[in-house]
Amino acid sequence: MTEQRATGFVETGVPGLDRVLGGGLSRGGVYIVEGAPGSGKTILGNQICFHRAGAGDSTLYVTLLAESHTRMISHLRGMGFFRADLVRSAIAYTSAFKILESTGLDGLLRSIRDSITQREATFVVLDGLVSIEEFAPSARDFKKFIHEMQTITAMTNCTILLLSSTERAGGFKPEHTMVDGLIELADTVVGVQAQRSIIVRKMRGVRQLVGKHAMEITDAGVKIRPRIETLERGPEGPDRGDLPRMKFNVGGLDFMLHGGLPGGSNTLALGPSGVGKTMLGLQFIAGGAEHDQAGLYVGFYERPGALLEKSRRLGLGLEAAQTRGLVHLRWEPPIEGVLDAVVERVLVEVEQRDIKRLCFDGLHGFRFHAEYPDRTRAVVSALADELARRGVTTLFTLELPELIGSDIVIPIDGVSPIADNILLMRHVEVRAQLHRLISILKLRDSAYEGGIREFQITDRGIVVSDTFESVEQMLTGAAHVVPE
Amino acid sequence: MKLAILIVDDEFGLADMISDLLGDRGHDVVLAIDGQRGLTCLEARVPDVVVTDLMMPVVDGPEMIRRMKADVRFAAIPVILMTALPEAVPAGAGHDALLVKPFGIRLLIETIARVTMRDDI
Repeated sequence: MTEQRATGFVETGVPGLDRVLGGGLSRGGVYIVEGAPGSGKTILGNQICFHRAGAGDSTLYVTLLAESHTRMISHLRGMGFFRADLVRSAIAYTSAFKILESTGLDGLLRSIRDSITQREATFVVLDGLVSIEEFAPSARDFKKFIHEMQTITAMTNCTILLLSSTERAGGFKPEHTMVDGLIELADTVVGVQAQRSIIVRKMRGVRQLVGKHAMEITDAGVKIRPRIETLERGPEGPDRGDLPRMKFNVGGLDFMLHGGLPGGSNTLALGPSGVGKTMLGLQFIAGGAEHDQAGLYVGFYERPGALLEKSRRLGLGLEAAQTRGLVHLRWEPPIEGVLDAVVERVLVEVEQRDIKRLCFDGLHGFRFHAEYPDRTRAVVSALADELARRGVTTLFTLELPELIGSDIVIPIDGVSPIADNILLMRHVEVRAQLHRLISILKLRDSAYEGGIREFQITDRGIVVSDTFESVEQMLTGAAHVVPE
Repeated sequence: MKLAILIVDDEFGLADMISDLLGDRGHDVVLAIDGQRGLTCLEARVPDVVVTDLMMPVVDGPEMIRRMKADVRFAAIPVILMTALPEAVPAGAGHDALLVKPFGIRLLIETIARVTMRDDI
């Protein structure tokens, strides 16, 4: 997960974009940015211009479209990257439509070349490639224009972005083969959810992050969220064997785990609604605070206030630990969002607060943020791997659909193999009483006690009792007493 | 009073519209798409007023004004500078009035009247 940075790259300054591009744009390169109207091409081009101008480059923004500079600047004024002091001094906005109309492609090329030379521009955005194509007498002339642009960049070492609308026929376009990179922006609707995305189709000489990545446009400008599963893995963290066991500070449970969860591992706590998964998560975080280990709880359903109230009832002392900076509660509302944004926020907080324990309460909450539910497994896998690399011990909770029953159906395909450890929490009915049970299904590379134990949620937290030796078939939920 | 007006703007949609509106009022309007072409137009006919954009390719508004002021033939021509970004106008650009885009035709007429000191346009 390290930010790849190589020499010779032109930083775009757009968060996440350089990572997706494989480092940035090449100095002297020609790139096409394609997208439908409204997909964010103009904002992206301007944002990079302002960043380059702020870094000391002389830049040029040439428009060939109907949108006037007046209107464009009025839109840009509200964006976080806009700096009036850079306009004209370091960013020149010019319209070349009339030049194109009156002098054709040759005249336009001369005008661009003269402007680059005169201003000693090192970064240029040409907004409206489609207009040039329309004015080109033939496809050959259009290709010649692209070729001439490359000649200009070769002479001046200037980087050029050609912004192009995808209103015209899609598919293969000859100019794609000529440029150094092809970036595609999209604004699609999946179900009822609008999603912006970016795909870097081509980057000469570097290894871009292939596939689709989420893109957001806010008042701050464009932000790219590289898919976590495509990011390059950072250097290995601490050896798991060197990390201590992570106790819950629940006697019976820590005994079952032979001293606690293995440090740096990830655990899946499965159970139906109401069985106590959130309590277990809070207990895990509270247990860490007692050993001065910073913990982060991430949940989708309960706000921090409600969790602290719950903690008070359980006597977990989370508030005091929170005051000491050892407990952090993050609420991610279960609304439409960008999955990678949630992951990024969590990883940033893990880094900034030196988190040792993480409870991710309600993996199914991910689905509200997932553009495609199929991604959930891959994201969980990448997140678990990244947390393990950082030496974080993680507890994921996942709700089972059946309150009581013989089937254990894991609602997200493929997550159980990802888990180092699996805890199963169930309700069971015995003699018209509901009991809560906990058992360990898996503890990777470690011995554990395989018994099924009853647990209770008390004002002293979770209390795990002895095994139910006199009852069979408890995991089915329909236990029966063994005759003596 | 009929005026000779030179409009210099690379955004030709706006320049065309201003030209039409002023032409409808009986003025002679000449258009140029950048400062270089604007200076060429000055050589052909000295206008009563120049209305120019700030940012243009090749020669921008302030550079065109600087060259005008350095030439005794054009130094006295009043200049109105148009821009959507007044913060970007350099100090001492040499213009006689500033119009912040977008603006209405009434304000343009009033400004032309003021800088040319003609109240009958």
